[in-house]
Order: sequence, then structure tokens, then C-alpha cells
Amino acid sequence: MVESKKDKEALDRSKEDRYWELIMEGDKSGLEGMFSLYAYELMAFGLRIKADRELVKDCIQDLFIDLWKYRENTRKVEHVKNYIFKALSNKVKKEIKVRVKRKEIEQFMHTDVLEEQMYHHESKYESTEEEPNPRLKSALNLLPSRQKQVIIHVFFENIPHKQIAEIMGINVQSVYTLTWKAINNLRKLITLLLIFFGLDKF
Amino acid sequence: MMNYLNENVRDLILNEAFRKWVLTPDFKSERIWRNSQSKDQVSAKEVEEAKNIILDLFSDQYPLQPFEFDQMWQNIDSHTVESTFGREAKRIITTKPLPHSGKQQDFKSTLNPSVLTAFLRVAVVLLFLIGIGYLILNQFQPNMDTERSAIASVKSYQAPPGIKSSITLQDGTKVILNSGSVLTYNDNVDLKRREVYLEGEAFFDVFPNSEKPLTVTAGGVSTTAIGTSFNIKAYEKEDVKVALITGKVAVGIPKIRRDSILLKEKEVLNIPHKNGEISKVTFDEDEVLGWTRKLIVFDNTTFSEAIRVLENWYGVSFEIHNVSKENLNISGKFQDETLKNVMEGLKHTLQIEYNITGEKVTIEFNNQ
Repeated sequence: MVESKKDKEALDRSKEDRYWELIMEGDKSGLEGMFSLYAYELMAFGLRIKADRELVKDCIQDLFIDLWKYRENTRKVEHVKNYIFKALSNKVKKEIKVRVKRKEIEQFMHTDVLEEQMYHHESKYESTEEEPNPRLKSALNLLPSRQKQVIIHVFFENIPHKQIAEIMGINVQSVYTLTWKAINNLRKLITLLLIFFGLDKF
Repeated sequence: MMNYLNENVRDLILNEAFRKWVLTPDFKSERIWRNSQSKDQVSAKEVEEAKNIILDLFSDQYPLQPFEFDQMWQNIDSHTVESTFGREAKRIITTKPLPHSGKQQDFKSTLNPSVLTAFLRVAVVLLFLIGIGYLILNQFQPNMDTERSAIASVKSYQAPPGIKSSITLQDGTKVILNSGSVLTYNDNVDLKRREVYLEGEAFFDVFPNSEKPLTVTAGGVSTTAIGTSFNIKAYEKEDVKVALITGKVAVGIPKIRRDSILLKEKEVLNIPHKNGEISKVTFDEDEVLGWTRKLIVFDNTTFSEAIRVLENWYGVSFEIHNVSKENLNISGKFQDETLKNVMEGLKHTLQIEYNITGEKVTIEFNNQ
């Protein structure tokens, strides 16, 4: 187990060096190879710095575009993986600052618009996500309707269990049971969707 | 793995307060769950497991999905250009195998060997041709695609000298484009903002869309608005002026690293063409917006700028002889006047002789 992990790392190292060379030579297959090699890891890494999917995705894209654009100015790099991950970390942190600043400006420009303020006001209190993410949405659509309903009430509308029981005409214990069933089904569905469809329809 | 969830994990997942803590951690509830961890009512491992399941299902922190991977690569791919033609072909061969491998086996059992070899020979030739065709298509398809989407979203407008154009952009924003100015508009759905590029002068009445702010880039200055009206003047070799009529805008000037100068109504920001201070003053509406109402206003305007205004306004070109004074400034208002009347006005104040022949105006200064 440990041995194979080491092997994989060694293999990745030799691949990344090769891809790096190709990039420096101006061969785009190197860029594609490098992206395929590290995109998944970079995504997980970026999400740990900032749990904002779109932001992290944007940063990863920029990173690879920059890697290509400035390939001629890039000095020699000792450890390619460290270099790339460090670069992403810097990009994400910088982007967070930029967005905070942008938000300040937008808020400044919105101070006249009452509606807008009320919207901000509300979202401060209902602070879980307003909408299921695309991956979850596609799995939700495959659930039996009662299970889907309970998940929406519990996780996206944040309605207390007691009230959900009333809405759905069942007792509170059944809300728990149904939720649990739904969660397990969702986990299975997400795995299945990933295996069979790659979720690319969504 | 999925079935091993024990009751403690289940109870945590179904616990409203626990979920709230995982999805929107705040200080108070953080302490509660830390405590419960230390008291060993549930093990830290179980808390971690429950937390991961919730995050995986309901937060943004799930792993990168294959379709996201593809989208991202497409974006990177379209923003990086490879110069060498030959390498592109190599890349396509290695990354996209030809989709023709499955079919032949079905025939094997029903055809005798000689028919089979003949068939295979034809099939190989066909596959080869299809393959070439596929490669050629792939070679040209991506370029065509990017061109098509660029055409669909990028539009350019030009107001010829002598004519002011009124334009309504796809998003509903109204623009009056001064004579001789060029405006380019990009409303690609993928972009997070509406992008407009301006050379010259234009008045904008921006259609409100808080999701997608509109940014006008002109003369190295970018002006961002959500739904406001403003006037931008950015002629080559002149100061850039951003004047806000209603609402609010943020102005960024990348070359001096200023990223958000905020303007209030009736303020004009003057960004000097040469060295000098950026200034923010209140403005005279006639001077800024007069051009949209057939009003020419010169208020201590430099001679060269005045000539540029007249050239664009009337669609003529000037020829100037004997400029006597170095810093010559002009003041005056002309409401819907003919070029001849304007020149008559200038004749006395500037002490010049002029001559209009067709689209050419000659000015001769009377040297005393």
C-alpha cells in the first residue's frame, strides 16, 4: 500500500517533469497533461483554502492560462507540483481580497436600491445555500418525490422538523426516518451518476 | 463503506444544530460541538465522518466533477494559443481515439475468411479516410466555434464624422455615440460582466442588471456601473473625462494602480493625458451633455480640442496656417448652428480668416 503510493508519486513526478518540458517547448499537450494530472487535487486543495467552488475553478483556469502565457519568462522550477500548488494558493488568496473589495463597491453602489438591501439582509440569516448544487440537483431528481421534498425542506428551506411533519402530514419520527433514507439514497445515486454518466448532462 | 455508518453518525447528521454548525459554522455552536467531542459522547472520528458526509452532499466542497473538468479545460484551451500547426494534429491523435473499434467483431462469425479479408481491406481504407476527415474537421472546428461565438456576442459600432448615433445594446443599455467615435460591446453569456470598449465620446444610460455590471474601458480607464447614466470622453492625446449624471460608478485606472474611485452625481473625474493630478469636480451639464442636444460648448477649451470637436461634429477637416499664440483657449456656446455661423463667431474672437470649400476648412490667423 505504502509502496504503491510511493510509486504513484514517483510516476507523477516523472510525468510532471515531462509535461513541464513540453509546456516550455510550446507544446500544448504538456499543458493538457499537466491539467489532467493535477486538476482534481488542485480543486480539493483550493476548496480547503476557500469553500467557493466557482472562485477556485476560476483560479485554477487562470493558473493554467498564465502557465502557458508566461512560459517563456518562467525561471527554472525545482519541484513543479509545489510550484503549481503554491501558485494556486496565492491566486485564491488574492482573488478573495479582490472580491471583498468588489463587494464593497457594489454595496456602495446599491445603497440607494432598497430591494437590494433587503435581499442582502435576508440572506444573512438564511445562510445555508439557497439552491442545491448541480451535482446534488441531478441526484435529487432521481429520488422518490417524498424523499426529495423532505431534503428540500430540511436542507434548503431550513424548516424545523416539527413544521415539516405538519406540512407532510407525518409525525416527527417519520421525518427523521425519511430524511435518513433520502440521505443514503442520495449518496448511492451520486456515486452511480458519477460512474455511469459522469454527470456531464448537468 | 456506506453501510458502516453507526447510530451516532446518523444522529449527528439528522441533528439540525449539528448541520447548521457544519454548513455555517459560527463561534457559539463551534464551542458546543467541540465540547461534545471532548466529553466523548460521540467520538471525534464520528463527528468528522458526519461532517464529511454533510459537506460532501450539501456544500460546495465536493470533488471536482468530470463535466467541470471538461468545462475548465475548454476554457483554458480557448485562452491559450499554440503557434505550431503540426503539434495540434499530434495532440488530437493522442487524446481522441477514433470511435470505430467495436463494430467489426459482429461480422466475424457470419462471413467466411476471404470475404472477410476483402471486407476488412475496404474497411481499413474507409476507416483511414474517415480518420483523415475526422482529423481535418477537428483541425478546423475549434477555430470556427470560437469565431462564431465571438461574432454572436461582440458588436462594433462606429459613428461617422458629422453624425451622432443612437444605439440600444442587446442588454437594453442606451448609448449615444458622438461623431467619429467607435464602440465595441461584448455580452458573452460566460462573462461575469458586460464589457464595452470606447474610442472617443459616448453617453451611456445603463440598463440595470446587478448580476452583471457593465464596464466601459476607454483610454486606459475603466468605468463600472450597474444601472446609471454617465458620459465618457476619451480621445487620443486628450484628458479622459468621466462624468456621472445619475446613480453611481466606480472608476479604475490600471496604469497608476487606482482601482476604485467612486463618483457622485454631477461629478466629473478628469484623468490627465500627460502628467498631472487626477481631479474630481462638479460639472456644467451643458458642457458635458450639450453634444447630445446639438449644443456645442467651449469653456476655456484648448484650440486643438475645439478643432477636433468641430471636425467630428461637421465631418470636415481643418487646415491651419500661422498659429500665433501657443496656448489658445476658446469659450462660447453654439446651439444647432451651421459650420458657417460657428466660424463667423470664431472669426471675431480669434481674429482669423477662414474659408470653407466642401469638406475642407482653412484657417488663417491674422498676425498683427
